[in-house]
Amino acid sequence: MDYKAMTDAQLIRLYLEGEEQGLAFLISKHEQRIFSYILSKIQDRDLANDVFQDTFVKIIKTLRRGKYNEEGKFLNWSLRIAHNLVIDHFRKQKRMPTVAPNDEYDIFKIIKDGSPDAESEMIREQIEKDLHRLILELPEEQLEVLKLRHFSGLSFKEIADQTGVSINTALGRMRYALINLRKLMEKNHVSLTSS
Amino acid sequence: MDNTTILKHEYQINAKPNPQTIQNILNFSRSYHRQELDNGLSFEMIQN
Repeated sequence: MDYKAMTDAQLIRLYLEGEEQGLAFLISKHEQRIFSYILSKIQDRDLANDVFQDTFVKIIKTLRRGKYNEEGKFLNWSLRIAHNLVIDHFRKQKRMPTVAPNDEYDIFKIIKDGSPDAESEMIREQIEKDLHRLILELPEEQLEVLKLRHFSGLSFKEIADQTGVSINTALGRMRYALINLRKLMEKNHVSLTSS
Repeated sequence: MDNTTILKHEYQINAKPNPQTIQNILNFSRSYHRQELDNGLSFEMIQN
């Protein structure tokens, strides 16, 4: 069987039919792209290997559950899984106690990270995405006030004029928007801090 | 003009995972079993 000529979809089908070689070829086809991506973010070969392994464990479980939506975009999907696991890695790392540098010796002055705030940036992006998704679940009038206040920077007087309600109503909608948003965040386990 | 691109970091080159990592994944795949029950529940099992 010529595995090299097969598409991702064919390799996946083969694998799900019990042919392990399908998975082996799928890995070999995409290992460079996925591993390079993980390594570029984590910059530690051993940890990158761990995250790569976790990525494929997740891929295998999803494929076996029959939850993979075949749209011919296996690589994009795999990179998304890898990306989420990289974020998980940084989140866990932030929760772990670290050795604090003292006056005599500071390892962080010797080893400079090329992208010092890459992980914070990634976590911030993820939080923004989560938050954006939740905001869209708010009732329409609350969503409108929130958008006008925070994204357009309007005052409550301007919001009241623009939406044709009193300032008090605009303020009330904003208050409920924040209360509801907090509830949605709790329900969806979204935290605004990276720790 | 010299158009040579210098790759400064290892991660800029197409890096590959360790062969042992690949082996671990394939071993996991072989030992991982999942079963759907009639009542809608499912269970996962790692069988060595």
